[in-house]
Amino acid sequence: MRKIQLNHGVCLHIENTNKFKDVTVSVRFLTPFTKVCPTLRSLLGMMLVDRTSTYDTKLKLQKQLDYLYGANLYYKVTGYGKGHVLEIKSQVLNERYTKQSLLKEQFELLYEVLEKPLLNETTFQEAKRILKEKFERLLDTPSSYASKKLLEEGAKGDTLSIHAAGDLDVIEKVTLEDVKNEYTGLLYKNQIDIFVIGDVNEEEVIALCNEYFHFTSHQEFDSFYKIQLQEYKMSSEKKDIQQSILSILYRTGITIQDEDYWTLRVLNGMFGAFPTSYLFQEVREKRSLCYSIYSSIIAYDGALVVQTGIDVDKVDLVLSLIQEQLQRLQKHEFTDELVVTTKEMLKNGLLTIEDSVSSLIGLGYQNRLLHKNQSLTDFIAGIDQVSSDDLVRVANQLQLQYTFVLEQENVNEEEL
Amino acid sequence: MRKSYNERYDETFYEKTLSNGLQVVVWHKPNFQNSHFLFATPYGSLHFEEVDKEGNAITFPSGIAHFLEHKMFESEQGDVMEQFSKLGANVNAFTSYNETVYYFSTTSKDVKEEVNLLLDFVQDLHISEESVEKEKGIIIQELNMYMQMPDTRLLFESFKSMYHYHPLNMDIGGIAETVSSTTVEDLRNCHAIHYHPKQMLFIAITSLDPQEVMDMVKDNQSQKAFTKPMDVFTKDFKEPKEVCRKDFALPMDVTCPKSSIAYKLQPYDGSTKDRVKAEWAIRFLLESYFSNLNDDYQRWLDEGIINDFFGYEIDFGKDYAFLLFYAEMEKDELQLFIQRQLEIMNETFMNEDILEQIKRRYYGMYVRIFDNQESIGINYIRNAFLDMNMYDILEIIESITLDDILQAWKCLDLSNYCVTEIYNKNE
Repeated sequence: MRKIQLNHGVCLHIENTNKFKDVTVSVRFLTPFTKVCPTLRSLLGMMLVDRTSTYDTKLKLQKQLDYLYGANLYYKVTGYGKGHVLEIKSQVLNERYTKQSLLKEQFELLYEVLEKPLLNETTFQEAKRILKEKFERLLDTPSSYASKKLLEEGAKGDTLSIHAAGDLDVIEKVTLEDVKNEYTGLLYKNQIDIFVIGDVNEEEVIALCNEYFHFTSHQEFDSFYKIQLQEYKMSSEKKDIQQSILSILYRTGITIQDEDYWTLRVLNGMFGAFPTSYLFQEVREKRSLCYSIYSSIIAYDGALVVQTGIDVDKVDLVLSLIQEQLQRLQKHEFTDELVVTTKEMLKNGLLTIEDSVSSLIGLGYQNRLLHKNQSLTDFIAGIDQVSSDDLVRVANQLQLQYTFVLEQENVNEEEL
Repeated sequence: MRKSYNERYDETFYEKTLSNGLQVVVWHKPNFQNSHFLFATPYGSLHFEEVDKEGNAITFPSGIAHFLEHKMFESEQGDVMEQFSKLGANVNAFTSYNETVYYFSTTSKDVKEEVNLLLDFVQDLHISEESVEKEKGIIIQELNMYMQMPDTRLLFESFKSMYHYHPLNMDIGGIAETVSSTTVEDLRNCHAIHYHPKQMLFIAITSLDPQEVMDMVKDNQSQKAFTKPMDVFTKDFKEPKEVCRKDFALPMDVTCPKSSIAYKLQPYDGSTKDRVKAEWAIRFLLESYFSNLNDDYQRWLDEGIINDFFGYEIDFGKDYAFLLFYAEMEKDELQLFIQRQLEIMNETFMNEDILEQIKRRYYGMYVRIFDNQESIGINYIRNAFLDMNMYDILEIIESITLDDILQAWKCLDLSNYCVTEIYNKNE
């Protein structure tokens, strides 16, 4: 991926490839994570891609998208440790599948969206209501509710406790003025990266960026950090559901920029990321206690979570089984074969990055945040270097921090 | 091996039917690192009750297709997932209404062992009393998981309201009772009837040499013998025109109430292509009205009638058809709203410009499918099981006229409907 510093401080990343039928243009805005910014930026993202001052109705904007052969235009908010990212992304078919190149139109559209927004009380109230109802809907799904609760309680005081999409408490308090301020910050105070992936002419892309994008980038900061160590706690809530959700947070003390990161990835693969993992094998396959069980790393925060859905009377059993699996890893109770298999699975996953536009952008962005220029070959070398001793050492670094149980009540009432 | 190149999409695939009847397709994606392999049978959750030539019932417990999918992952050599993992490949499967699909993906350039594994584990059911019993707990937890997701539950209850007998009234995985009652013998019989190579399709989406991949499948199959399975046919469920439950409300521990109005339609009488065309025609009409293509849509949002959880589903199956709207409001409100809007839609109807706009959009969406290996695989399989190919759909879409839409819409009898609601049990 070619990296170019545009003259207004913005970083442009171009991957010229004829592999995909679309040209993707993505603009990512990074800012320090605060309690209110995720909510404001979710609202802003929704408002930006909904209407603009030129395309001032949904119908007008949709007409333009359909003129561009059903172009995709969407926003996404993500947490990267202490950093919060709002991404505005568009995808338009490349020249091969349309009668003429639509690259200029694609940039024009993004210019409209980013620089001619329609931020008024009407669009604000609509976004506010929709976002509020989105949150409520999300929390009606037991596994999402449990994940949110776990991080809120288990990472109290750290960024990880704040949901990257925003919060119900915050949404009631924010004003249109707040959103407008966030918008100004977006264009002039954030760290900005533009990704263009597809069958394009690089010089043309640079010229279009300079012609259409007038924002300036200032901020540069390290977004990774480690959640604070806290004394282990457990809490639970009751809900009238069919299955109890058990969620566990561990502090790893390792972030994506640490040397031990690949060891942690392999360890997580052995613990709960694959069908060969101890959690899947012991809790599901051997004892039929669950359908879904997994562990996953939160790479920029130095954390790891485990989640599963089980019968309420099996909560204690499964909790101790999960701890037991980690202890097995800590005591070197694993075969070299499992290590090799896990490494193969990880490498296989990494190699598929090149087949997906969003993974390619993810890789480029990771390099940008870490101030590195790592390739897949480097990642694979990193995995190959991991030894069993490393794995045992890192396993012993994992600290159990919090357990949250969303418990089913009235077990008999809702029998299937 | 027959080569098929499509100039419009710049896509190439090869196909061949082996002597045992297995249809093999290699979709060539020269630039891709990953290879994706799928092995599918046209046996899904809707087929647990069928009949033989004489009309005698062949009945399995509901959810058997899904149960079988779970149990295929055991082989004589042990856990199939583990065997794929050792090769660095990801294997999985899913069951839908009309098909069960097993698949794996890998970036390895030597895939012979993996291809053999896929063919072997799907064609050989290796189960015991004990392993079948053990799976029941896992499947019941899977059903529980879906049952507590409010969106999924709303659809599930809507189908239960619409159908008296048709298997659409069941979850894909069945219910706890039928899962518990499934036996080793059920699974063996079901496998013997529905996993014959003649019924199945193997597709690879890969950068590897097509002839070599084709030969791998051929070599594997030439070493196996299959007994001819008995012929089975769709059962006539004698499903009445009327819905099963006209009005149903379910309390759940949720904040947002949700409801649906489902119109039970008469199954489409005509060829598969005409059926698919009629379904798309109606979809376009609904899209022109119940979306941001209609200026009233903004008013509905502004007045707080709908939010972003609002939509519709239209499905013309072989022996069923329905049209369903869902939203976050109370069921009586939704009924009034939809019925009123359908009246207005009838009066205004869509115009030529909007139709052209929608067609242009779908062209883009369709081209995009070919960037994704999984999408190519699943689309190919679903079309092939309807005796169509992937390019047919776009031709059908592009051939739709306003008159087709009007005709398709006029044929719908919307007199049988039901409303379903999930409400906050704490209020």
